[in-house]
Amino acid sequence: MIRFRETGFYTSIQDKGRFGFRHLGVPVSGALDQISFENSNLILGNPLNTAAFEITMLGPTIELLKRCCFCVTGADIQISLNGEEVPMNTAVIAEKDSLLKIGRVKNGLRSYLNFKGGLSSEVKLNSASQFSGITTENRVIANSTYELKEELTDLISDYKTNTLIKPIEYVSLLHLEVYKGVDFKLFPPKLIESLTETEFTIGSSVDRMACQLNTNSELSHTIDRLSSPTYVGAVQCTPSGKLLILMRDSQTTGGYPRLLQCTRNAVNRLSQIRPNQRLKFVLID
Amino acid sequence: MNFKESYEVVTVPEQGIEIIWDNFHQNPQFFERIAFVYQALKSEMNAFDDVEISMLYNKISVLCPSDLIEKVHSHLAFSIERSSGHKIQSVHWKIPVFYDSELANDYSSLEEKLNLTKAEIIALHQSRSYTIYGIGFLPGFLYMGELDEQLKIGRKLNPDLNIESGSVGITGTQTGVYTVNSPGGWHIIGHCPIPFFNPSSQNPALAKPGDVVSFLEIDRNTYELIKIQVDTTVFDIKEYLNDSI
Repeated sequence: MIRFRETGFYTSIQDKGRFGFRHLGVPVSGALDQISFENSNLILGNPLNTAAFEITMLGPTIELLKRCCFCVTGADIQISLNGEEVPMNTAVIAEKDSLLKIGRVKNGLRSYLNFKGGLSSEVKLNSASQFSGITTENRVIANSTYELKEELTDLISDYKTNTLIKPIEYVSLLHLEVYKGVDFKLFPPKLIESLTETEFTIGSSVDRMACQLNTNSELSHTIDRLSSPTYVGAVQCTPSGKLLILMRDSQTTGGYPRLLQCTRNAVNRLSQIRPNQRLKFVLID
Repeated sequence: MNFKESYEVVTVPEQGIEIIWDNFHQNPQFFERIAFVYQALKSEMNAFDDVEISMLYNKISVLCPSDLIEKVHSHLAFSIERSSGHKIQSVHWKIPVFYDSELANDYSSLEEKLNLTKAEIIALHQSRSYTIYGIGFLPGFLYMGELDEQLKIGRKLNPDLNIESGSVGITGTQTGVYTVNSPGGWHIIGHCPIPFFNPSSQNPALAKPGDVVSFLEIDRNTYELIKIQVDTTVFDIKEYLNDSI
């Protein structure tokens, strides 16, 4: 069993996502940085959809009440086990009654803590991903305990590290690859030139639902249409000219036109970018 | 406008396609055919796990791996062809609502803005049945319309931070029931004791696009009785609501 002494800034359980219920208004959810999440399972030899803890900015402090094996991937973050620093992207064995302290993110925004064999947590609509109105809680709360599914035999004393996986690196200017969005042609053609030439900064709101960009009013418009389906990675443009990039917890329908569409990988990269960082769109066909 | 010629298929890059019928406002009769195409596509593609088909108003969204796109296109053409003269499978839901002013405190402002009394607002809300145009915004939230013109009112300028699950709201020509506690800008006129969405069930939402909903006024005692039945899980939604048309 493990117990959360402190939860950190925002820690939630996430897996690949919740599929098959989109037509009922259920967001896909799941780890925002799917690559780092998948890496955590590759390192531990877990099935690739084994749920992990998604850590944002500041990590939790956890009592490990059983011998176990864990790893942390994604944003570069301080990790200490019983006061000793341990590396990222490495399977680490912790003896019974260890204290795991995950500190501040150094680069990037989100890290993934995963355990060999996975943990027992609430599964709703075929997914462990926490989301308001679907799971009981939308994040890990203090003093929560979770059972680990796998007993770690004493015969295993060490794991090989996957040295191919590198922590997320800091980029001062993110080049984000986007396609034309579903509603692209509702906007004047000249707009796209200014869009790809403009350097945007990330706004203060970068949560699991959307990433907001600071914009000027050049993008304001009067397009008013019926609400539409929305897509993860869609760049919506509000009437006042705000750009919102939809992340995996975004609602499945929405009223704002969908100007651009990020590549899947762009969404993963975007989930590691912080407020005030700079961004440029690169339009691809 | 010809239904078969007034749609376009737009690529959702790396994710699938979206089918859009233009001029929807001018052709409300298109909706039933769109709902038919949606249901037909859904059942044709049912065998594939990694396909998500949803709809809202004049659009059908198909998320699928790229190697299935061709299959989707051929089923789409076929179901559009078949859509004329076919009646969709549709259920008429009768939803009990407690039109209260204790729980729903928007009546005084609504009475003023709409120039109607509370009784008139309640009567108008119940005066017709509504089509479900799609599901979204919140898990299980039904987009329903069209409201009587006299009830037409814009969203609140300052959205409420927490609208309780079960709240029945109106805005524009739409009405809807909040399925989870959520911020929202709709004007609340009553409460429904029946949960529209149950994440513990593999079939979490019962209504579907194309179904029809009418609202039935209940008093406080009935509201509380149904709530107790729901909480103790003896409540059977079908017993109360299902009335096929």
